[in-house]
Amino acid sequence: MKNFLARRLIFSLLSLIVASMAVFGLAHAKEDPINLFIQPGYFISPETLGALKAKWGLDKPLALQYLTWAGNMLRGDLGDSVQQSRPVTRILGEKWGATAKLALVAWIFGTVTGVPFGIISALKRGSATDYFVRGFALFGQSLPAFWVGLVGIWIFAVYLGWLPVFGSGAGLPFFEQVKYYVLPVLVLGWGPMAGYMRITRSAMLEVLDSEYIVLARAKGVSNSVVVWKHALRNALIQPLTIATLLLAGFLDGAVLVEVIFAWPGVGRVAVEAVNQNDFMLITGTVFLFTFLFLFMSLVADLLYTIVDPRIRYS
Amino acid sequence: MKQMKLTRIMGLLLVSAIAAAMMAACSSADPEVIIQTVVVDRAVAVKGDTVVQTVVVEVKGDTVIQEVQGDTVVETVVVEVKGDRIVQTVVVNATAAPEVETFFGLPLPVVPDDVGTAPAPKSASGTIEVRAGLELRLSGLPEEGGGLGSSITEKMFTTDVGGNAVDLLAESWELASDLSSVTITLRDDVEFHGGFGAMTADDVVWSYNRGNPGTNPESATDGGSNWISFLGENLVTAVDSKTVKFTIATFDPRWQTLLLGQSGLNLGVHSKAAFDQKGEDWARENLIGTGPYSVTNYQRDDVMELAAVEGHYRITPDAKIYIARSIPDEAVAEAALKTGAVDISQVPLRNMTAMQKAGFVTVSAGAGSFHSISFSGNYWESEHFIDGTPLDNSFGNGTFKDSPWMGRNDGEHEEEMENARLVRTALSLAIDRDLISEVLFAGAAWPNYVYGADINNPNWQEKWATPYDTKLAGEMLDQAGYPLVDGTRFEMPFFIRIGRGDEEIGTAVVGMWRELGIDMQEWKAQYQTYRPNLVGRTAVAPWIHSAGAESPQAPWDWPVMGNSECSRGRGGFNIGIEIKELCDFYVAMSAEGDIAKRNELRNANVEFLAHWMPVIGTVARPNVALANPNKLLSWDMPLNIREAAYHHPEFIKLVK
Repeated sequence: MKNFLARRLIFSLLSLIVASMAVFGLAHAKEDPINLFIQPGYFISPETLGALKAKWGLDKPLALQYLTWAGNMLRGDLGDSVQQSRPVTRILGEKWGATAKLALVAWIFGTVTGVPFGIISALKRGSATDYFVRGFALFGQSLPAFWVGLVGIWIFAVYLGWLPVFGSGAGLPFFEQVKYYVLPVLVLGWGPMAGYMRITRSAMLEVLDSEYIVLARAKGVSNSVVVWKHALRNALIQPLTIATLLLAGFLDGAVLVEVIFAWPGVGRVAVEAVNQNDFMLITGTVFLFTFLFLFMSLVADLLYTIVDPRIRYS
Repeated sequence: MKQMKLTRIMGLLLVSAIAAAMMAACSSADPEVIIQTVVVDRAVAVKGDTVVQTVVVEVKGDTVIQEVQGDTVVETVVVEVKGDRIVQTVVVNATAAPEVETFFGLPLPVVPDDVGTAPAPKSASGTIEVRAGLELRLSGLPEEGGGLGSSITEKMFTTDVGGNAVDLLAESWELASDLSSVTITLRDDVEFHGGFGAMTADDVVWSYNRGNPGTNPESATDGGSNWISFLGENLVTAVDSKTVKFTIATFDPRWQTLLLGQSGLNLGVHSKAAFDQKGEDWARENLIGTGPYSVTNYQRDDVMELAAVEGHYRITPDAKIYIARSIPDEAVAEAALKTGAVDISQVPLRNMTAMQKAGFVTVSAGAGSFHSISFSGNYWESEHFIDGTPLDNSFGNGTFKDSPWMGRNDGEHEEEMENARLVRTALSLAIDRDLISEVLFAGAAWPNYVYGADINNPNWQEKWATPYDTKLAGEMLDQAGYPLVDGTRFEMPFFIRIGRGDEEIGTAVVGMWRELGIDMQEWKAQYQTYRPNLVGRTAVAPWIHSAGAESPQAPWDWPVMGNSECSRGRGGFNIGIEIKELCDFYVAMSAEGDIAKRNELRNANVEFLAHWMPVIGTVARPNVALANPNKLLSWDMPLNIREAAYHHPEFIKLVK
């Protein structure tokens, strides 16, 4: 068990280092980033240019720049945004709350709808209900989020007038604010919900076909006990462990949804940083996303060991 | 059964024959021979206008029918005398031709007839909500740009509805006779927002010296090259507590209307006291100005809320609260308008008519835009314009023969220069500008042939145009040495800047040039991706942009180019070309006090550009927003040449 955990931790750290090198390298790949920020019309002397480069740490070799950046990062300093002249950690901190709230609600929505749909689909295998639920899941996984978002806005906000068009409703009373979450959560959660549903369904089908379930039925155990006590417990191992990865996916994957719904979160910051080629903000944002994903992967591994003793003892 | 069918057919035939005979009888009994139909297709300016038509009739008793195009028959005259030549005077009851709405000389989209009803606005009484795009920026530091025209921070001057400069923070001014400086006496009744005291000369000096890139290399204010040119490294100084002196490096006739006035260059007066008391970080996020609006809430790229300043020295706004919200997606912005969630928004011009039909009204949103294509790589200067140091153009090694749009202006490659000119002209001829306007802008845009020269300007001359002619374009390319071989003439990279309408136009141009046999390798990205090539003077791929020359509304005598097209703007030669003659025009026009002579110089400038075509135009378009008429009564914005978005909300009048 300890070996397993140590191995996972080392792999996570290595992944983080490689990812940070890739992110940092790509942000500097085009050419000297200082060229992005020299304003047209400068009377720029070599001394001034040198001072500007020194300010941004661009006067050092790339490897040294990376090490400096990584060292600062370990101390929680992701540098200053070149466009905003503010600490990246502060910018991300300001926007993090909105993204986290949206991701969490979408995650809960995906989980509480996807898992039951998967169970129903498995129990009604081959029925019209099964086909309907699977078809619904297929659409959820194949339709692009931006398209679903726009169509949702036109149907539910413009024509029906039930929901607001954009924004997070920040500052409004709770029940007013709920309306602002409905469309973004549906758009963000539909695809992952479908993923949950499919995984739960296949896990349930596998368990329902297993010998111990056949034995339980042969012994006369009632259907509800077979399904809810024996089958579901075992079938839930997989969906519950991937739930952590899905949460990370929600946190990282809200970029398009945030842009469509003008949601003031980290995703919007990421888009704007790329548009502005703000390399410090890009590296900071991507590093945050990478860290979250690796952290959630580690949590998923730990959950596996808790819910599946075979991993602990292997 | 068969008999019955036959009887029915016979009956039908009989009835048809009788009907035909009756029709023939009727027509022959009252024959009306129309010998001439006069179609009045003259545009009638005013309803009830009189149109005189001369009609020659051949046969007595004939009927002459007067028609008005698109209208019903107005008068029928039976001719009394055979062969007479008669003159009829007909009062035409046609509807007056719709007057084209204009904004400072440029046509705006025509309002359709069948206009619907706009939704009830959701914003509170006295509040107006507008949509901003992806970016929503303010900064309390002068070097990072001010904000929202002259509504939060103010400038020395502004413009009246005629576009003339009028004093704003300036009470009076005096320009040195040798044009080397301007001394401005400030108003003494101007207070900063937030209790930061009265505006003094110190605030003005501090703001302009931080904003001018010549005195603060870290300044990122708009129009840096204009500031460098105008003030250079000269510091603005305080003569006394209410008098400041600007020492001019290169005189610019726009000093009052553009540089120290309007809001496009976005450098206004900020509170030095606020900066001193609160520090740089605080000042960056808290814009303290003197305008009729103060900032009450600002979240970058999300929301900006302004409150009207009561008892402001020049105006008390009708809209007490002005809220700008960032809605990046255009379709969502339309949805927000349609639901009343926002009161004003810009939408793509192609959707303008549909939105007008839905009941929204147009609001002019600042200056129009040119969309131009720079034939990057034409770096024709061999030495720096100001200090004469040799310019390194070694990036061109090996690229000229493979880049037919580029030529070396070193006196040794005249044939190459001429062939490149033919190529550029051919490419201009191959752009169907009317089609672009029709398809992408619903006809609201208009052709632009020469960089920075608008066809609506009274000084425009038709000889400068390159109307769509693919046959001539092909002949020119043949002549330049690029015949069609296996369907291709040559390969050309093309950078398409995403946003501001350049993407759609650029894509259309790529298609048109492909039809000419050019193997187009387009590359679409944000401007920031291409910018290092411009700053590093390595740009050789032609690109489409809306940068450089001012808007179509800029007066003809303005020296609109020379800061972004040659080496005067050192450190970033901006739009991919370096041409000494364009600097020469700028310097000559700037130094010329006589408007007529400046106009002549401008004509020569356009002549030069129309001949050499280092940059060509595609289309120009107005900048129009849509507003909910249930909220907005009027918004009389002054013209601000450099300002693209709606501005000056203090002139908003709300529906009560």
